[in-house]
Order: sequence, then structure tokens, then C-alpha cells
Amino acid sequence: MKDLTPLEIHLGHATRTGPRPANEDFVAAAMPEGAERAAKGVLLAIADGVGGHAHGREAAEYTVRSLLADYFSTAHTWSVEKSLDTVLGATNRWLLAQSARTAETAGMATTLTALVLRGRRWHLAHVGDSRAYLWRDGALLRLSEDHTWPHPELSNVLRRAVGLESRLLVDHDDGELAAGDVFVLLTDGVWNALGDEAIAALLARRAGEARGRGAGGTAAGTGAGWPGAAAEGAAAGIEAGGTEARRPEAWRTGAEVTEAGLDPQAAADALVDAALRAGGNDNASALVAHVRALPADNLHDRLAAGRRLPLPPRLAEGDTLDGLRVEAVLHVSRLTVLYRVCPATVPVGAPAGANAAVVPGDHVAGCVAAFAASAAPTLTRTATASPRTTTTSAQTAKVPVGAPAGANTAPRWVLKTLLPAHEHDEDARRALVREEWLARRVPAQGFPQVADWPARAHLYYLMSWHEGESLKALLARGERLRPHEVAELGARMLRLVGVLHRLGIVHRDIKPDNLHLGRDGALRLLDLGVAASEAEDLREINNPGTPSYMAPELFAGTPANEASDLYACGVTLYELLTRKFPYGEVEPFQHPRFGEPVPTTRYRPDTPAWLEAVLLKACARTPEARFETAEEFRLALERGAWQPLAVPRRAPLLERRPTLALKLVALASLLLNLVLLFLLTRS
Amino acid sequence: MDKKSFLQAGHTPTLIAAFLYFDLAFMVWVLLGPLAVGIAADLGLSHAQKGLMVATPVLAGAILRMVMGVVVDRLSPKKAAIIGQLIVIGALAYAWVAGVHSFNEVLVLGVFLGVAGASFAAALPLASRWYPPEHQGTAMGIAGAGNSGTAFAALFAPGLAMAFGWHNVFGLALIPLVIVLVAFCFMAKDAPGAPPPKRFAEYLAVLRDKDAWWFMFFYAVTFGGFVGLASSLVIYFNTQYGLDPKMAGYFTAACVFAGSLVRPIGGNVADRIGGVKSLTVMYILAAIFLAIVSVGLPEAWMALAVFVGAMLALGMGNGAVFQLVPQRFRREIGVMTGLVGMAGGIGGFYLASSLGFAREMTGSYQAGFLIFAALAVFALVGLTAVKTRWRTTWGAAHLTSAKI
Repeated sequence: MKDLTPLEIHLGHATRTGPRPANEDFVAAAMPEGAERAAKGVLLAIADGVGGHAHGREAAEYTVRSLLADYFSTAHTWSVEKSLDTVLGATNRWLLAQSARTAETAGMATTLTALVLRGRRWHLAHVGDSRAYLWRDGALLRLSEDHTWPHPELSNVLRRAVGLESRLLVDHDDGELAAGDVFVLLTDGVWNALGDEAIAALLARRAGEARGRGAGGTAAGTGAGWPGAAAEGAAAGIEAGGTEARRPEAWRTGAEVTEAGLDPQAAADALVDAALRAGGNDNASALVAHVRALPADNLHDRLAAGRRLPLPPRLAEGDTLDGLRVEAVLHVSRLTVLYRVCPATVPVGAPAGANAAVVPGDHVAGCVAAFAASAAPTLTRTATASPRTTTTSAQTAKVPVGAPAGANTAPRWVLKTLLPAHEHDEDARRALVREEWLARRVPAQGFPQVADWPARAHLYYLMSWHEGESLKALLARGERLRPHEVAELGARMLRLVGVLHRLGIVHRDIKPDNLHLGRDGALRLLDLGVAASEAEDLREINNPGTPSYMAPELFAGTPANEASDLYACGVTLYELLTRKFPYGEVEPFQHPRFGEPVPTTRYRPDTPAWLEAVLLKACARTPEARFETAEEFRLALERGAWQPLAVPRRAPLLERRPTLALKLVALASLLLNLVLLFLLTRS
Repeated sequence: MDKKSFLQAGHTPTLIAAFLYFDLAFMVWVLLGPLAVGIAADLGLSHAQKGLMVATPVLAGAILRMVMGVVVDRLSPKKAAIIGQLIVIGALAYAWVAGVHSFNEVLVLGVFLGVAGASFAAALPLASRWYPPEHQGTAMGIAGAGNSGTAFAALFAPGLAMAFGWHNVFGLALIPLVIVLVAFCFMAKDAPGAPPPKRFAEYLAVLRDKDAWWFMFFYAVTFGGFVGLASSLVIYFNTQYGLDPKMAGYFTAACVFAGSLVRPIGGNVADRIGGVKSLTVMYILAAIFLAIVSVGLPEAWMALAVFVGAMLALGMGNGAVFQLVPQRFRREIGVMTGLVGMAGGIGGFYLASSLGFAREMTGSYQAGFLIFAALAVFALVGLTAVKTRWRTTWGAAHLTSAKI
């Protein structure tokens, strides 16, 4: 079993006004606990405000505070880059609006250097001339590049800063963490006065002293240094869990814990003091983070390690598992099996109160509303007791989202698990746990919701069951969809796909089998089994998916993205209309060659020209020729005949394959010559 | 994938040694086929006995490759290959010195020649373990070109038998065998780091998968047809059209060449248009050609043309099956190649012996060919099942382009 050590980081910071009248630097860090730290990481930020009289400080403080507050509110499925960019973009707009307000605030802006330490990687976002350094194995490496003008007289003038331009350009960088790494964030008041060599020398000296003192002394030193930091208040707002102060023994049990190393607080103080002693005439601030222990490989490995549950045996109708009775076997695929289940203890047709007792939905609804807000869904929240005992009035009031519309029946869920033959298939296990993790992070509308089952003792997860059928089943039944129905379904499907894309999730397996039309009329997008979110590092060698719906570029090894999802949407609609594929059926293990898509009118002469144009654009071979976003695609479908797409002229052969055209011309002239030669010899 | 990096990647002498060993082993494996006319005349064998004689090494090879696989796991590919070569050389030397005087003795010799057919299990891992995944395809292609040994046997053996007598062909075959054995001992080297031995349970585990059974059947038809025809055609051309063994050998060699050369092409076609699609076409073509040939065409050259057509379809089918197997059974590939190869051998045994029996029972080969054509048609049913089952989501782990 993998070690469940969290990422352990010790922080230290210092900020001094120096000879200046006011301190315009702002330093802060946020170190959430537990699941939140695993999902979003530890955030450090340093900012140096400029301009606008006293408003430089305001810009710096506002930027850092809003980053600290809002970064952790971004979706867990977003990448660090996207989260930081989104928050900083909003801050930038606010600062611009502020500085345009009065002459006083004009020109208020700030540098910003933010560092996120998450899992086993660091991510840097940087604008302006503060600096980030990585001190590893006794060598100092500068991670950021100063955004100042290269001219010596302009070396203090910022080229880029938060609040300077309407379009904020942030530098991003990332890399692997190692235990013992020291990250140092400095404003120009420190690095300008000291220079890289002096900084490196100072850190080396500090580390040497720390090694001399030994481990115990360091822990105590940090503990003492920390509360002081918060007290400084005006100059430095540090928002932190203060984990090291409360449980300094935690890191000692970890797998990859370094020996004491340097004391970050002492180092930060030393850096700032040295800068001022060296004649620094600016505010001087430093933020030092020492990586003490690294977590196990990545988020999902840890998720999987936490769920070493046995696989359930193959179940038949009427069997019970963990207090759930199997009502029907819904689907068996190569790896997974889906059952429809209901609580075994609740007789069929039980009163509505029993519904709410299990409350699978209320938790999920909460989770969805707050998917950005905080902790990963806790399994303990509804895990109070068995369905029977918790029929309290408070709970009956909640709407059981997971239950089917007919409230008079027992709640029903879909139980998804692996086939027993894959008991030792670690990849498949990890994928299932991942799928649940992801499924908990999609909104309630249009997606099945994960339900908690306190008695869960096997590897599976429950999601809401909805009466209805998949679009594939609809087609198989012989249902002939009319063009406007296809367009309407398409618009609804794309709304859901757009939701996923905004969450940074690529579905990767959109097809009629995974689109479910409920009895309640709702269209749902199922099966996040191979979906990928930006927040993860999947390290796949090949793209998963269903071959016929995979975009041409995926076969060449390009990772799936929104564009390939939209291609799958296009193929899905094409199939709904014609029951055929635009480029023919693609088999697994095939490396197909893509020519031109077959016009839908060949199979369905009643396709309106505008719909054909939309579908052919969606199924275009190159991603550039397709719709850029789900919204653009959806609008094209909704506008329909009112505002048809311009149909691109079919490229002539000379344009598509110039060499082939020339070859054909050469061949034709050769044949003509041969014929003429033949005629000549005859006469 | 440039040439230089390929040469640097693995161990070229081992690759060459594996190729030579594989090539000669294949030549010896089907040696009885081209000699069958002479042997049958001397020993007075019936048609069924002739069929059984050429089929025995094929079956023995199929079963012994499992044994060879175990030896490879327990000792090492090189040691296993040397043991295999020594057994074959010993058996041939004994047959040459002591002579073969009865049908039973021929069958015993056939079983020993089957050890040569088991060379698959030693030669391929020997070469493949040296190469990183990206070069596996090329390495396996070079080692696998040893299939051409089948054609050499058909090409040279009948001529030599006419010149020196079929007994002495065993002796003559010893010359290249001993040379290659010596070269092999010096050139071949076991790759560092062997994969863990395959356990019996792994075979059982993979057999729980329906696809595994179908692929064994697919290969039993394509490779079985290929190797079955390769061993029987000399007899067929001799009996049906009265060609002398030498000419029958040339005709056979043409068919075998056609079949073994298109194997990589079949793999490429499967890669481009899809394995199931290309196999469907191959099975239909093979069934048509076998049905045509079953009526007993009036002229030998017509039969040759149709056999070449059938061999082209079967050979490409071989390539197509082995384009799919490593990808479909990425994790179980070691076990699966063994099982599929064994099934191919059993198919070959069935075809070769059934042709002889059909001739014995009904007086013509028609029934034998027709039943095999029916098997090819039945394979289409399997393909449809596989195709339907495969219209599903494939995880990233199951779509890699790993080779054997």
C-alpha cells in the first residue's frame, strides 16, 4: 500500500519597510488541510505594489488576498495554470477599473509571483520583477524572469504587471518537487540589494547552521516563528493552517522526509536584514518555503490506495451486496458491469419518507453547488446510519435528487463496478476510483450523480438511476429521428459538453451509447470512465475512446482536448441522423486514413443544407476547421436555417494534393503521347 | 525509426542467429512434405498415411512449442534453442544412418522434426528480448522472415531426393544444420533480464476471454491453411496431376513463397483498414479459392493459380491476425502467442491429415478442401461476434501499439 504522507511544507516570511515611507510589499501563503491540500496544493504569493500614491500597497494586498481566497474556490478539475490565470484575470480587471476611477488611484499596479506546491510538482505564476528561486542541493536556480526593460536606465520600469494592461500575460512554469527543496520568493528590494550569489551564500550558511543544530531545534524554531508572522498584520497577512506548529511530528512519519534542513523563518529574516544592511533603499520582503516531505505519487494513486476494497462477486438479479439488492443487470462491458440496485431493507413501494432516509442526493447537490468551495466530499457526512433509522423530519424535507421521479418507490441507483476477473488489474481499479472522483465534481443537471452508501465494503460506486434509454437504444429500436430533432438533441448535448469543458474536463467518449434520454425528458451525458480533467497527469501512452468517434488527430497520438470532444459530438449527431459514420466505421487497433466526410444527404436526402453544413464542419478532419467551442457549435444548431454557416468551397485536387494533381497531368500527357506515337507508327 | 538506432538498440548477431536458426528449423519442419512422394512409394503408404505423415510434424511442433516455452522460461532461450537443434540433428542423423523402414518409424521421425517446429518458442524471445518496444516490430519481422525456410524445403528437397535418394536428403540437411548450430553457439547471446516464467494459471486466465478462443480459431484457419497446404501440396500435385516430385516441389514452393511474402503486407493492410475488415475479406477469398480447387481443376497450372490465390489470402490473414493479437492481448502477449501459435499448428495438422483421409475415403480431395473452406466461413461468424463486442470504449492501456 502506498504511503499516505501529505505534502509537508515549512514556511517563513519577513517584510520590512526599510527607508521608504510605507511598505508596498505584501506576502502571504495559504496551506489548507487534508483533501484540499491534495487537490489544490499550498499557495505562496509575494507582491510589490507600484504607483498611484499610496495605492500601490492596496494593489498588492488586494491582488494577493483575492488570489489566496479565490484560488481555492476554483474547480478541482482545473489545472493550476488555469485556476491562477482565471483568478488573476479577474483581479487585473478590477485593478484597471480602480485606477481608471480617480486621478489618485491612476497607475496602481503590482508585481506578483505566486507559487503553488501540489502533489509532487511546483507551479509558478509570475508577472513583474519579484523573483522566485529554487534552492536545491546547494545550488540556487532562478525560476522567474524579470519583466523590466533591458535598458539600464529603465531597469526599474515594469513591462508587465497586474493592473497595467487589459490583457494580462502571466508567465507559467512548473517542475518536479524533491524533498528538501527550498523555494524563495523575493521582492526587488531584496534581490537588487543582495544579488544571486549573496542569496545563495546566505542560504548555504543557514542550511549549514541548521544541520549543526539538528532536527529538534528546527521544529521548535519554526513553531516559534509562525505565530509572530500573523501578528505582523499590517505588513504581512499570512493565512495558513499552521500545520507545522500544531503537529510537528507529522512529517517525521513520512516516507520521504529530509533531515532537518534550514529554518525557513530564520532564512527569511536573514535575507531581509541582509538586504537592508547592504544598503537596500526599497521595501524588502521574503517568503521561504522548505519542502519537508512529499506525498505518494499523485492524487489518484492516493485515492486508489485509500480504497483497497475487494471487488464484489458477479451478482445476479435478487442478490444483495452491502445491503443493496440487485434489481437488474444493466450492462456488461469488457471491464465493468452495471447493476440497478435498491436498498435491500426497504420493501418495494415503501413510503416516500424512506427515500430521503438514504439521502444520496442531498449530499451530492451540496457537493455540486460547492464543488469549488472546499473539501472533497467526505464519506462520513451522510454515513450516519442505515436507511431505516434516520427518517427524521429534517431529512425528509430535503429533495432526494438521486431517486427517480416516482417518489413512491424505493430509491434506485446504478452500481458500477469491475468484473471479478479484474481483481488484480490495478489500472482498472484506479480508473474506477478516478471516475467516481470526477463524477462527484460535475453538476446535477444533465449528469448522473454519485450517491453515498455508508455500508460500502466493496469497490464500486453508486450513481442515480434514471428511467429511459440511451440514444443508441433509441436508434436500435428503429426510431427515425427527424433533422430538427437531431438538431434539438444536439443543442442539449452541447450544453452538457460545454459544462464539462468549462470545468476543464474532456469527456473523451461521447457517443450515442453514452447519451441517455430519460423518461423525464432530460438528456444526460453518462460514463466519465475515460474522461480526463486538466488537474490530472494521466501519463497515457495512447488515447482511450471508441474508435469510430475518435478525432483523426487522436490516432496520431495528440492528446484529447475540447476539439476532439466536439468532433465526437459531430459524429454522434451524424450517426443519429444517418446511422452511418462520416468516415466509415473505424475498428479498434486500426490506423485509419481520413479522406473527406461523406455528406449526410447521401444517406438522408431530407437533411436541410444548413444542418449538413453544421455536421460536416463538426466532423472536419482538422481541428482548425471545426467549431472552436461547444457554444459555437450549439449556436450554429440553434440558429439553424436563420443564419446558416457559410459552406466552404470543396478544395480542388490541386489544393488538396498538389503532387497527385501534377502526377495525374503527367500521366495523362504520357498516355496521350503514347497514343499519338501509336497513331504515327500506324500511318 | 532509423536504421542506425535499430542496429544500436539490440544485439545484431543474436538477431541473425535467431533468423538462421528459425529459417533452417522451418525447412526441416516441413521436410517430410516434399519427400513424401518418394517415401510413400518406397514404404507403400496409403493416401491417409501420407496425409498423416506430413501432418505429424505440424501437430508435434504445435504441442512441443508449449514444452519449448517452459524450457525457455526455466533455462534460457539460447540453451533451449541449442537443445532443440541437437535433438533435431540427432534424429536426422539417426534416420540417415539407420534408415526409415516403416510408417511407424516415419511418424516417430515426424515427432522429432516437430521439435524444429517448436523453434518459434525459442527463436522469437531470443531476438525480441534484446529490443526495446519501438524496435520490436522490425526485429520480429527479421526473425520471422525465417518462415521462408518452408519454401526452401519445397524448392530443394525433391530435386536432391531425385538425385541422391530421399534417405540421403536427411544427411544433406545435416550440413546446414550443423553449420548453423556452430554459428548459433558463437553468435547468439541471451538478453540480460528475463521476464518472469509464465504460470499455468496465466494460460487459464487468458482462456476465460472469449476473444482468445476466437483468435486461436482464426489462426488455426489462416496459419493452419498455410502450413497444411505447404506440407500437402507436393503430394497433391503428384497424385492429382501426376507431376514428378521435383516439379511438384517447385509448384509448392511458388505457393509457399506467395503465402509467406504477403504476411507483412497483410499486417499493414489490417493496420490501415482494420483487422476485422481485412480478415473478413481474406476468409471469404480463401473459402472461394478452396471451393474452386476442391472440384479438381483440369490442368495443374490452373490449380497452381488458385492455390497461389488461396495462399495469398491465408498469408495476409496470418499477418492480420498477428496485427491484432499483440494489441488486443497486450498484457497476456507472451501466453497468447504461445496459445495462438499452437492453435495454428493444430489447424495445419487437421488440414494435412484430413486431405489424406478424404482421398482415402472418397477417392478425391474434394471433401477435405470443402470442410476447410467451411471452417473459413465459420470464422466469419466469429469475426462478426468480435466486431460487435469491440464496438466499445477502449481504455488507454488497451490501445498501445506494443509488439510481441
